Amino acid sequence: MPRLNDITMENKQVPTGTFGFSAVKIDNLGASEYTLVTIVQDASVSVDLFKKEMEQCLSEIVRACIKSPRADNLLIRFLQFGSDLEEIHGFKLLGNCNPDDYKNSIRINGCTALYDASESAITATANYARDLVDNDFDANAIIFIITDGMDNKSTGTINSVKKALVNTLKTEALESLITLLIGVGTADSPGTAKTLKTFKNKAGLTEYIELKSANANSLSKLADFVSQSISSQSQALGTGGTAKTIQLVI
Amino acid sequence: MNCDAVFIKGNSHSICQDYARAGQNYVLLSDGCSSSPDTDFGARLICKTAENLILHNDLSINEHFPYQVIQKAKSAAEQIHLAEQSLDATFLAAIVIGDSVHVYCAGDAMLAFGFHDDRIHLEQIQYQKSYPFYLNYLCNNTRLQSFQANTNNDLIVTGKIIINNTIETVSYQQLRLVDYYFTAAIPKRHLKYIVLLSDGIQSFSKQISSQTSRTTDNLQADEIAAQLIGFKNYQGAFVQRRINKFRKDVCRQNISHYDDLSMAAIHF
Repeated sequence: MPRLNDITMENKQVPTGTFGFSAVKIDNLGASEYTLVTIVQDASVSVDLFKKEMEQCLSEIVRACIKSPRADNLLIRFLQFGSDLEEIHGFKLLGNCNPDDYKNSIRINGCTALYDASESAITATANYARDLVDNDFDANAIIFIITDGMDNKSTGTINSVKKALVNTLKTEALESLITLLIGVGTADSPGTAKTLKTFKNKAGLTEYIELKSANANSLSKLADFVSQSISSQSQALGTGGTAKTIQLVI
Repeated sequence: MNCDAVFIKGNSHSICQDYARAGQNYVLLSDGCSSSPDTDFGARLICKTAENLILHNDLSINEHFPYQVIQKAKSAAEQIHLAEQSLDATFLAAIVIGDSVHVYCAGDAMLAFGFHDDRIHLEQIQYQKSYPFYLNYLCNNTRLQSFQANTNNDLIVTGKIIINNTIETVSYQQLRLVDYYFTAAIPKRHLKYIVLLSDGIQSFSKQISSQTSRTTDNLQADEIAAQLIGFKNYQGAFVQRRINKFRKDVCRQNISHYDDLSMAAIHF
């Protein structure tokens, strides 16, 4: 299980909602710029079928990011959602992440609060980016929302997600923001894929990516895609632009 | 204690002739003369030579330290067949040894001394005809005599105190003139930080546009410095962060700088 008690981290509240987040204390940050990475992982009952492969995927993402030349400029947060939201860990320096900590990290619970999780991830990112910029750091962000199903539990709506995105961009704290919705194991459920595409379009997320099957091979490729996207977005920091598009090839 | 340094190219230069370097207990800065050849190399050689002297403790850090730096830098320049004038560059250093910080300034520049009560003491060194002293002149009698003969090129030292965003002129100085360059040894317990700035701090201007005209307004160096040294924190790359944020802020106000700018700081 991930180490949850870290004296370099602090808890933060967000102005809206009740779900806060944790992040590295500003005094513990030495670089001049950071890419804020959030991975929002579906932990609903249906994910149980590929839980181990997904945890392996998360480990591979962290392992690849640790090897990145931009590792010192990455802060990564893992959030999971079923009926409830749970932060596996807050925005953490890669140097303090252990790939082995993600074994048995997904706690399967209930339904799919997809919209609440997405809104929470975006708001927390905006909030922490504001803190960074107020302390002279530069920041951009990339958020991956990984789900195998449609929302059936959120108190918020697609509009809540859209509003969170609009508010984030208004603050101008982030040099750029990429939000990627990843539908996993949608081969047998075309309705799910269609609904997720609608969510992406109506909320204004950057892109929807489909992973038709959820097995070790496809999730390993997902890990490559995620880590390359993170690297690309991090390299774009300071240029005023966003990452170049990485293709997910299965 | 943390040290950091950064240098950025000005709008009118194709190559950055400023250079700045930070180590564990020192910061170094050099601004190459834009009308002399290869001073981008020269500025780097001067800083690297100074660093080698500090790290290898070849010679004492005393009031003759700048002279030792230019002698060694000259040998290095000759090794790679650089013109004598390539070392026409200013030299600034702040070196912490024991309980004191030893400060050196040869040429035009600005220094900021930040105190624990949030006072900031700025000292700006300028030359009336904008022909600053270069250590390189000490290696060539003809050039040194030519510099001395330029009687209209008075040395001007301006002191300012910033308290609560108010800037006032003061007459006292931290720096002492030794022949042609300045030096000081200050107990570090008195200071929160020290900042070295090249004379690019004088090159800021604001573009003012209307429907029928576009003009530029030159900005006061002390006002720019007051904004630039408003550090939010002091860990890691604190100078890099500050200058990045400062550049974004001034860009929004249509403010730019034509000369290269370098900044180096020690937080105690």
